[in-house]
Amino acid sequence: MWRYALRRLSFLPLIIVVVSIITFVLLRVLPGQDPAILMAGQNATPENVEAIHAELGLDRPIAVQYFNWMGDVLRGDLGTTYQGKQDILSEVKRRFPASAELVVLSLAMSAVIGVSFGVLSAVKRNTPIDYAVRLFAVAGQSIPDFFLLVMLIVIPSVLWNYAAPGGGYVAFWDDPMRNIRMYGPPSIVLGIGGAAGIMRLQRTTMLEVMRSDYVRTARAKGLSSPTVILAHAFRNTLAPLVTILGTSFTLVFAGSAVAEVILSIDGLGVFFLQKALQRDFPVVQFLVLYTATVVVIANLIVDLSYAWIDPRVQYR
Amino acid sequence: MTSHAQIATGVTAQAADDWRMAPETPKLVHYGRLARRNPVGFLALLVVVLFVLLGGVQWVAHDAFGTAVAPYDPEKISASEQLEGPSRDHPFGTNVKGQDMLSRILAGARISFLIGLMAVSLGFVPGAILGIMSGYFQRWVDYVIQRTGEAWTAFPVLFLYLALITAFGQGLKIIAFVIIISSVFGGSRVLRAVALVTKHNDYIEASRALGASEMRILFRHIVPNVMPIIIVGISTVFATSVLVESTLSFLGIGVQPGTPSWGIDLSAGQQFASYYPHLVIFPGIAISLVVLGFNLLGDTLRDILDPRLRGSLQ
Amino acid sequence: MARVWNDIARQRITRRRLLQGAGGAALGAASIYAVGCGGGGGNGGDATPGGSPAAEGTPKLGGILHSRQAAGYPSFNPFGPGISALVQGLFVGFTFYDHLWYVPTDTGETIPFLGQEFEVSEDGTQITVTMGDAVFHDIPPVNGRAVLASDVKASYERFKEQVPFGFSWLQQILDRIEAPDDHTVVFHQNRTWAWFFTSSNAGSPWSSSIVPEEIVGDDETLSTTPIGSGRWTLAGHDGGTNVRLRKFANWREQGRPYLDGVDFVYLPEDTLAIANFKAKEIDSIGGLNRIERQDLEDEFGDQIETSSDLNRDYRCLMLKHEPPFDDPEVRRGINLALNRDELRQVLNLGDGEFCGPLPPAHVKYALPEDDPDLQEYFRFDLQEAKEVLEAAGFPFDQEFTLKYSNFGDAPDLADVIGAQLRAVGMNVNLPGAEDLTAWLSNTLGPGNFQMTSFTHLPYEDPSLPLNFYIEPNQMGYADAEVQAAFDAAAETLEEEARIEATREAQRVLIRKTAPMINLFSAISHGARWDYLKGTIEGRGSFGLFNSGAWLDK
Repeated sequence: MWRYALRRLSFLPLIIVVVSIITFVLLRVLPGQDPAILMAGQNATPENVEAIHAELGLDRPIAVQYFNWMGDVLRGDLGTTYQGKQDILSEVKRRFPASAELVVLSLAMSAVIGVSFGVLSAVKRNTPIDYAVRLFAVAGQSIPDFFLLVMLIVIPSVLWNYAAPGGGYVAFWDDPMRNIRMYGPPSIVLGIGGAAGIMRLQRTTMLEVMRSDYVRTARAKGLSSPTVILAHAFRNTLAPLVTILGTSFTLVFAGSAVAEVILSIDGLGVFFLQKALQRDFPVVQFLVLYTATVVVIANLIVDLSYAWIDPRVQYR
Repeated sequence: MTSHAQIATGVTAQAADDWRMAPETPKLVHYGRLARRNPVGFLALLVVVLFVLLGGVQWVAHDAFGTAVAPYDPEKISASEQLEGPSRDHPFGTNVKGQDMLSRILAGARISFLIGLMAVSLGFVPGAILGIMSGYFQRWVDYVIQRTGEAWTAFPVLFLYLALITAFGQGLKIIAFVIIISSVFGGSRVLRAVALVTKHNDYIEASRALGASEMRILFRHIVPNVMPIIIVGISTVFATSVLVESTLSFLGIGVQPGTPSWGIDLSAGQQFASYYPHLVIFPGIAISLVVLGFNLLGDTLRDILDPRLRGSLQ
Repeated sequence: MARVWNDIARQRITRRRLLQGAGGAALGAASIYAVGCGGGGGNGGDATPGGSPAAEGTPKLGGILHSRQAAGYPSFNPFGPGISALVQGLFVGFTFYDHLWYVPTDTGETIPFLGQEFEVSEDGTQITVTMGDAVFHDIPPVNGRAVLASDVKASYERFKEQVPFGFSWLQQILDRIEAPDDHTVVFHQNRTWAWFFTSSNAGSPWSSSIVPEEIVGDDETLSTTPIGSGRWTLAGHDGGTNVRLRKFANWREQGRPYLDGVDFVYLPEDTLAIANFKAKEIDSIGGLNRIERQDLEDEFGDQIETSSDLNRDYRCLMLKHEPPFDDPEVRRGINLALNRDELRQVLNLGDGEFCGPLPPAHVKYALPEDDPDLQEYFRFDLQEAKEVLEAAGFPFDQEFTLKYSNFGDAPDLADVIGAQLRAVGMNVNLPGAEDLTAWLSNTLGPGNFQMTSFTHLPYEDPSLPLNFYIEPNQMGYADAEVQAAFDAAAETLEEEARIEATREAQRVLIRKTAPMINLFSAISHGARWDYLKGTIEGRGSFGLFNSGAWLDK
């Protein structure tokens, strides 16, 4: 299996290069992307635009630009933004904790709520508990995240004049109360949204497995119910679950942008969104690279975990 | 470890049971019973059917006649009727432009419907087929499909979407294009996982031992087993696409501003949410109800269609 | 001459605008919010003619004001690059840097800042400014030295080099600057230009910041470590958000600012910002609409003070000067068909004032409300509009395209205008919203449109809105009478006469229904907690110079 893992990992550089080239080219070739016009503003005369092109290095052949950029990135120099020449690496470092906390907390909430509700629902099938749990989960999945987040701001404000504190990122160990006030409620809200999907899938696969032959066999052997569930059934439900978590993780990156926008959190998601719309190439290029890397590695972990979960699945 | 013969007998016995336990009931009665046993699912079905009809009607009306089917013109501006609460004339109230919210909700169904339809028919179903083949055959088929899919998923779709809208302007086509492509690979990935696990089930090995061909196994055993997943998947994809479109429109990067769309209405209404809740409540309910309908329907259908649960339904 | 289009008005930060940034210009708008509009914000307040703060009691020293920051600043460099000069230029201009003078829009009176005495030559081409005493912030390499005329000269010269956006006084009118001694600056204009005091500010004090000579060319320092002689110094920030200011101890006005500092809280979303204001996380807020203001008043009553502000920005419909729009009668008909009341109602809940050739916020120079020509300009009569158009032989069957960008509420503006024009029988087609860059570079810039609608920036210079009608412009409009009237105003040094000349120019434009038809300027509202005192209400961006604010806590 390790050889398999290594082989998969060896694709990482290839994927990164392909993705970054596509990004690079798309940015420079697609119409409407010229950052110089936006920066020159209303006096976007051809001369001004040319001057800005030269300043940003956009007048050189694409291949040259690419190699220069790639070379810099590999050396750790992510460059500076077009607007304001901020150092991209520092910006990424500054924004990372906020996004990371939001993503991790939300995923954790989803997983915990989803899995436990899913198991509960499957075990207590067709009882009121099952129906209640299922309804709650489906409702959570159906109501749009952005709607819930807006309500999260409006309702406490209308009722108690409460507002979550704005301002920069404060780590949990620096000021637990502030950190929880800023990231706790949104994570729960976002977690509920994601939990539903996990819960449903968990319940579905749990039910199928519970009815399957080998579980009946285990029961016939006289193993008590909880042991049966946990030891046999659950492990076999993990495959789709892990897939969903893996996919969720990559989706969360884009989804976090919505939460960051509504909650005025200065994170990576909104950074990407803003800079993509402002045609700030260096930022976009780097973040695409970053996302690609994360996704490939996440997928690999997911696939490897199949082998661990279900010994029958083999990788040659 | 039960012998192959035992399994084979078990399979035949079950088939025999099916014959005896499933008398020829008239379809209508059969469905009627199903509906009674699953009231929530039936309601969900109604919601979905209503939505599909509404969306379809609005689509035809818009493309063929350039209007919407609604009590008022959803795009007509009327400053004097600005920001009215729900009333007899305007059951859902009016927005800041004086447009009737009920009409806008009705007209907005078109966008949601189209997005979902395209995502499912052009994206998810082809993707599911790819996924089943990938998971079942493994080896190089799996390899190629999965690597392509992975290369795609490694590429941030959001970036592609943003690049496309700044290049070609916002609009339904671009949203559809991006959602379709995502659905293809999303579908393939989930289905592959299930097919991967399913194919190792004992009875499949038994069938193979009995000499069944790969195609037969595929259709007779794998597909019925993954059907519930596919159906749930279809409803999920429809639901998700509605959510995605409304989110993008909410952020202002979705359909053209001015197009009646639930996401745009929610966004426009947000600034007045504390003072005129009807501006966000109705679009919010519309989105939630439709998405809820699809999700519940998928749930119920899965319960009904799962072969291993047949006969053990309450 | 193409003018800067970007919107730094006190309009709502719509989500799209926030995300898009428009090269940062939207951020600039946000920054004006941030620095306390319509409710004070702790910046400025030097000479307060007729100031009422005295009625609030004796100012207490100390305290930190919490204010909203609606968007981040990628850099603090007043010189750019490019369009972002406007964004950060405004913010740093109001905070870290000082200026020679300032002309608030509502009074039109030149208020001396660092420049104490002004002498205008007979022919109006040469202005000699005598500076008072001031020092820079005590930060290397400047280290708190005195502000000299050579610093002023170096600053203006660098501003003159920048890629101009909309403001051309520096390039077109300013010939050169001299600094004959340490405290004297002489401006040489290449023509008689009576608008000197307002034009040289580029329509707002971004291009008149006094930067120390030794760092004028040092972009890196300018971006990260602003060193000026302004009221506030930079104490910290998070990558351009949550900016923290602390008072400059050696500010040229002894004893001010009263506050110890200002902490900005990054709150781009309006809903969250209002929630934060209610929770007292920020002490003031601007850019409110009527409903939000009323709601705050209902809830908090005496505990808050509210105010309203007539914005300097204005919405317009620009027509290309070619058939059929080159016929003044056609333009008159179109103007009659435009219902400014409905526009104002839909776009700003009815808060605003109708706008003639010069926005009403320029109180001194704009035609007074009761002026008969202006009344005629604003008149709405659908029936008469039809008749006028018919009489002019307007081609009703021809299809016209109204272009607009996706920035801010431009789509809504176009929507309403389109509907109104259709009501008079015009065949108007609204294509999809153009992406801002596309609209700027493909539509507005080269004049590639039949009709286009947008919102102008809040110019502080009265000559700017009028300049739009002067050759060359995007409409392709040239009229000798208009040119003559404009020149007459620009060359009249004596104020009373110039006011009259400006009004006459407006009347000329009205009579010809010049092809840029102005619609209305919005009114926005603000609120502050009552413990925040010493604010200056209204007066546009002058409130941002308020160093007389203090906290009664």
